[in-house]
Amino acid sequence: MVLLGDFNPPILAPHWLFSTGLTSKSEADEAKVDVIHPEFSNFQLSWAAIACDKTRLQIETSDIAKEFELRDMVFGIITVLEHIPLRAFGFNYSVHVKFNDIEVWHRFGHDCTPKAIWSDYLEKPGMRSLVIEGKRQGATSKRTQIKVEPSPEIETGVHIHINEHFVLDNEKTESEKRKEIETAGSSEYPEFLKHSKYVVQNLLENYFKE
Amino acid sequence: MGTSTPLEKAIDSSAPDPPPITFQSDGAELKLSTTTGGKPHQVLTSGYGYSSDTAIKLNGDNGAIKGTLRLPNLWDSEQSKVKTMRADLDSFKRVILQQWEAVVDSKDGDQMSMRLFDLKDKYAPVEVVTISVDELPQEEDRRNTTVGSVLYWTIGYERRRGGQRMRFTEIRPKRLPKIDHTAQLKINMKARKLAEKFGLDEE
Repeated sequence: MVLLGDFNPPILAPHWLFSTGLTSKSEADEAKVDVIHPEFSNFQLSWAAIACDKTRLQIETSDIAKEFELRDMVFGIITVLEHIPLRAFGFNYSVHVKFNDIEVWHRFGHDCTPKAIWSDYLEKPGMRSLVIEGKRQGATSKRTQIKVEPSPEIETGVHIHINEHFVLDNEKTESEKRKEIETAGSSEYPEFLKHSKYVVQNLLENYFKE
Repeated sequence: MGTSTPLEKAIDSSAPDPPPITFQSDGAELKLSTTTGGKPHQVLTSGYGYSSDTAIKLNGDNGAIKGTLRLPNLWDSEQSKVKTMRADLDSFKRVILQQWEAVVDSKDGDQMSMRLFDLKDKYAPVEVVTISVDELPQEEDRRNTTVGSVLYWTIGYERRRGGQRMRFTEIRPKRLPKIDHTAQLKINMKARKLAEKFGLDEE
């Protein structure tokens, strides 16, 4: 999850999280701190990675069992930092999938972005990145983006990244903005995750038939 | 448990690289640790007399970390007090079978009774279970869990690259920010008003 606002990065440190009750002492003690600096803070708990600069706070986990704990941590931080101005927030879901057959991998790229209109201008045109934007049915977010690209981490892999972006009304009080985030996190975050998994499953399943 | 579809297998085999193994050395003793295997910063092995290019066999708890690791040349730099590398170890991916939010209703010795609210199906009936407090892995969490505490209980399996599946169950507290005395008084007052409104006694 990502929050946009005016942050004070050095506050975001493992033992501050412990002092606020948002992590245990042992987790704080065992955190791996990359940097705590006035401009930027970056550290990893055993289950989550936290990065904060002056305008952006990002908390992520690769453990599917911790999706709700991640949400709780975001709620907790904005509750404790009750006066920090917030402007926007977003949910993100990301997956890398390896294609064993390079021909099928090319076919997927071609199906996403047919090359006929490009072949007059380029030899061997290939998809580098595709972003599709719209609204998830029933979502209150401003927009949902689905990005598809060759995986930068896996050979003949695909990276699918889904982002849902919410803009907070500047006319609202900080307390009202926090309520909006909590409401979205409680009611829409589980739906977002469900939808994201559905998107990945349905986009790719035809390419993985036995 | 059903078999994996080809897509699930592909996602499994695309699990991110294994977490780095950290080498710590004071020039004499060597320690290898990692954040994987269920235990954060688990020390895999430590000892004396390792030289560069030594192969070390790793065996983690529950077989979570297995493999042979060839050490880089640790001793060629005075700066190399801590080195990290990505090791070619098995990685695993979790699949959630069931996940609940659990509210502790009573705690008696090392047993606690909880109501379970299904997080995957909000229409599922509320279940009541009694489990041992020892299911909480951290001592401070066992100590701090009281009546009214909220926990997450997850049951699933971990799929390893080799195709092996291992069941896991994990109970962790839901961590909420501490509230100060003033906020507590306000909550108490609000609760009293609601109790009056609905004709309930303070209990």
